[in-house]
Amino acid sequence: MLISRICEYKGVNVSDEQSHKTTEANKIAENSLKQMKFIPFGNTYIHKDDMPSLDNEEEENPPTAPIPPFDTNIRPSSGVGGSPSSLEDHILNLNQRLEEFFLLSTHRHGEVTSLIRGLDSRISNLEYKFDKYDEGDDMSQDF
Amino acid sequence: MAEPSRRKIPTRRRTASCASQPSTAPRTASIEGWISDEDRRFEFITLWKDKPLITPKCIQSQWFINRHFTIPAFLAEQGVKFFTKMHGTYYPDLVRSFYFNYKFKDGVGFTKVKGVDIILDDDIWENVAQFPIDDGTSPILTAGIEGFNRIFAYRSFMRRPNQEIGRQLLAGPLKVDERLLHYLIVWILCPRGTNDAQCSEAYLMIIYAMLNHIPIHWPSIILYTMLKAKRLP
Repeated sequence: MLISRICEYKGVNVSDEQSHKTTEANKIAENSLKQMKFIPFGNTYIHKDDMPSLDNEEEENPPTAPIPPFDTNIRPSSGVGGSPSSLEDHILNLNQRLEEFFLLSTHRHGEVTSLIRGLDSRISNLEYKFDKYDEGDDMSQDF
Repeated sequence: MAEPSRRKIPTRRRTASCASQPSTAPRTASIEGWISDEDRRFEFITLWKDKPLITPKCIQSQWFINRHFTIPAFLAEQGVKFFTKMHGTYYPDLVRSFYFNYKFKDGVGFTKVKGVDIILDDDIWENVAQFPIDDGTSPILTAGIEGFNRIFAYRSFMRRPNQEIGRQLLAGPLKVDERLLHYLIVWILCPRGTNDAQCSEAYLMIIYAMLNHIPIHWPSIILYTMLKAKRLP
């Protein structure tokens, strides 16, 4: 391209010359990026090889996949197929699940703390007995 | 290097010339118009007349600006934005004629097209290519770049710098900006028409200079590229 412009600038007679024109195909833009295996990803372009793998995509899909059966569970209870009510039920259900999860976790927490308390009391009992034994008799004599 | 190969040509051209000459007849512009010297005309027919040219390319910079690529900024900083956007009509036979007569001596390139002498001087670089002719620029390919190391530079351009590299440094593993710069160099700034997928030391130096804001003396790069294009078989 530069050479053709130089010829024109220097006054070379180009009127009868065989010529071609650049077209869209000559422009470097998205097609060139595709050739280089760069594909759009969000607001940027990343290499095809750096795309999140299909396994990850499959992992991402299940959360969306169980939703339809979840949805079908809601629909009979709502009794209406309308999306706003089913969404409302869905949110309610989620809230209930969250509450259940919270109760479960507090229950487990209570269990764990009671176990720790039990261990504590057993250790203090042992310490008490040990101290008593120590005062009454010299342990070194047994050995 | 180019001179001995040209001296050998006359022995071959005697036989080839008769067959090749009639094919020029239907052209609107004649071979006599491109090359005045009869002997040189035979040489042109034998070696250059049907030589395939690299498809001219240009950057659609607005597309890259809209997508927040940093490439247009690098090109603007180096003063090659206009050069990389050049598009329009091109004349394949004149390009061949230009290269056929191209000579490089004492840092100056000169040629002759259809009887018009062309010296590739600052007038052309400033007014046609619109390169900035500035004393602060560096002819990096001959002067080198302080601290530049081919392998370290290539690794820093890679998407995964720890990836194993082979004997040939390929453009495939480069990050998007570096890959685009390589593509622009290969197709517009220093086209060589071969081994597009490889990162030569010269290409790596240019990318390194552009990314590190080192002003490049582009006329010297273009003259070097023209000379290489002329010497290629």
